[in-house]
Amino acid sequence: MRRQCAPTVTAIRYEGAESASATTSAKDLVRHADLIAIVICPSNPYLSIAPLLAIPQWRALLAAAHVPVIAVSPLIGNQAIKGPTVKIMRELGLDASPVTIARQYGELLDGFVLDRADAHLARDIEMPTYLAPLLMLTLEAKERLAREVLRFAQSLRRPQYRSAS
Amino acid sequence: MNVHAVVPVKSLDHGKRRLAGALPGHERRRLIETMLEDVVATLNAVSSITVVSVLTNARSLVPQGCVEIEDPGLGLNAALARAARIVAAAGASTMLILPADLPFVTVEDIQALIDAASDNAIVLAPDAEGVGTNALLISPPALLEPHFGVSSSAAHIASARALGAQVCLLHRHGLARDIDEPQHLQMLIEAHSPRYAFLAGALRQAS
Repeated sequence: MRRQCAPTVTAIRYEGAESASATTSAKDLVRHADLIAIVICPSNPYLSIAPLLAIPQWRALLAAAHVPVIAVSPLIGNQAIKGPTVKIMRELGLDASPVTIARQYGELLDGFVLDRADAHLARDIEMPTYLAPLLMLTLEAKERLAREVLRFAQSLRRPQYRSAS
Repeated sequence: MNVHAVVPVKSLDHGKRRLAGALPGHERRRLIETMLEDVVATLNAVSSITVVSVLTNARSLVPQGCVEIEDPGLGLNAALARAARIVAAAGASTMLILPADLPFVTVEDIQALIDAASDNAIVLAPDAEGVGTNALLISPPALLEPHFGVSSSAAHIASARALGAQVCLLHRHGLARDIDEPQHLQMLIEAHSPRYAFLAGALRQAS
């Protein structure tokens, strides 16, 4: 943080994650009766989202959720919406593409939201996808995206692999 | 090894109906809750178990610190097959299915199951009669369709063999005694655990 992400990333470890657990309020939220969806927002997948997903209990809560879990791509093409995501991916030897992010979240997801410019990537993503303008420069654009993401989540109805059949 | 434990427990209306003649509803509920708490506490004390989930349609039963997996109500085996997909998606390498009615289970019993799972895709602990399944470890979690019910031990062994999976049978006292019949309650009382002392009074009243 202090060195503004200047050093090269060789590996990322989340110390203590294995023995950490989700907070009681997080557990209550995830199983709340009014919940429509769980949305993994376009934050940095490695510095913001992965530390949570490294906690076994958090992964289990998401996998067992009774609502669809969807992620919004933090990349448009090979550019991050914000922050050092692309730098980190390249230094870790990963293809800086929304497809890489979708596969990393993998089975936890029921759907993935791509920017309209990335429509051609949808066929490489093994789950339902939805196209929307992801660049949120105004409050209005943020609200519109939030509404579209919820609509997509509701269209998924039952989480796929979690269905009872 | 990343082991997720799944503890199936029926709702209070349907659980332990065979004990209904011997034990009034309130005490039956207390018995189900106490046994579940004991089993969960034992699982939480085992370091290689990363997550303990309770598979139920009775949300109020899920103890603090456990993940709830909803039972869709299509039977235990369908619910367990779905739970297997969930724990696999959550990153488990092994699923341990351990019913909530095993109050004598110890940390050493669980550790012995997990040790056996390092060389065997399927580890099974039969009940005292040798016909039912009281603990089942499956690696990876969705390898085997669960067949709980009549003669489940033989059914699990047969389907594991059909898959060509290595099976280990583990006989341990703490895993053999599930609490199903009125005569099993006497064993709980004789074990002199203060947690089950309420049973003595309840049985006296009922008889």
